Amino acid sequence: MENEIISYLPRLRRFARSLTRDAADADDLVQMTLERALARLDQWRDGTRLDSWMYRIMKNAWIDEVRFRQRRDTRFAPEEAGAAVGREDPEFDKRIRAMSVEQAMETLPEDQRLAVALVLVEGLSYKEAAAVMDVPMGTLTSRLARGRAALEAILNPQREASS
Amino acid sequence: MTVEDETLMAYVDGELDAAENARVEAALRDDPALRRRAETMQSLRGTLAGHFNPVLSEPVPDHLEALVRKASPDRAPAGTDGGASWLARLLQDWHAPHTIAVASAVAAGILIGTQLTAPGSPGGPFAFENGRMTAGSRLASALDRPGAQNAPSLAVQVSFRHQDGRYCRTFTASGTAGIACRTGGDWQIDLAAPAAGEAGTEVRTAGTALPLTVLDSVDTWMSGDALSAAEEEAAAAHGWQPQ
Repeated sequence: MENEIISYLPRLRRFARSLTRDAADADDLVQMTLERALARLDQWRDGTRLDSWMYRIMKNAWIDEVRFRQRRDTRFAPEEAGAAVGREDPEFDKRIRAMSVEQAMETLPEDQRLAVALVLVEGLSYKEAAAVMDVPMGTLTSRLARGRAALEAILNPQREASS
Repeated sequence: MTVEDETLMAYVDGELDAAENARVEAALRDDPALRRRAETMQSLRGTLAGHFNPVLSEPVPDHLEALVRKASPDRAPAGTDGGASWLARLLQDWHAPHTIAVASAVAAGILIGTQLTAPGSPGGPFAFENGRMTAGSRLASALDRPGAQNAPSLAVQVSFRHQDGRYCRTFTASGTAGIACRTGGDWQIDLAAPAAGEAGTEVRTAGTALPLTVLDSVDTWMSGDALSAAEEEAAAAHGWQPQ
């Protein structure tokens, strides 16, 4: 069990990275998820997938975090994130371009971002993603379609315009 | 025949059954606008995967792993078990992004395969059979030659050793960019994504037409540095087989 959870850490970190704005927040979210999961291991039923169960805990932890931040409505310091990016670095140009993916993801409402992250980044099937999000399939696909359209418009504006 | 956007999305995401798949593929053959739409959807998958997959190869911070080990009642001795899990993690890191990239390449291959059989475009850059996409003869002969290649609508840029030992090369061909890895006697297309810029109408020099997905995958997959000209010559002399 321990090794199974540890084997999921890279994927949980990737999922967290696609939800949050920066890497430090993402690892905080992974930590929160692990704490919750480990405290409730007895609630996990054999026969359901442990990875899906953990995605679901992360989804809930993230929604809680978003609500908490909205209530507090303060400085989850964007300037800190900026400082790490601004260094002289041969990878600089790549990171600048890469930033736009994060910024594009950030413009999505949470429910669409979750759908996009679970299906397009984590590679879950629609059925699995709907189960993680606790919504019917139709809700999942419409959130996914809307999130996708918004991302395409931001990341690929010329393509959108020409089609 | 019309294909709803939501159906096309499900096609690109591999969610359709065989009959629906066939119906969409038939529609794709006849409808260039629909094909472009599908390629845009596929390209977004590639962009997101290319952006986030490198996280899989980052070392997991110690405190996260320690949290799991500390909480677990069946804790193993730190020394030996730590070594084994390090190796397991390393193997998983290597395989996970690779598998995903192949899955998306296969999805892209479905599209490309469709174009291949479209009326008026025989002999495209890729061959697609048994769920495996390989370079067509023209692309394959460009990949065989050492050094950067730059022919009309066909270019080969950098070469590198994959962590699994295979030789791989980046290419752009007819608006598609990707990574081909020498697998047995073929150049297997392990990653395919729409090339940056306008689709395949102009010849670009190495680098400029490679989308982020491809660059990130090179970073993730590469063992050591990109091959020098001499190393490419040597590899080509041995048929690009791992030595």
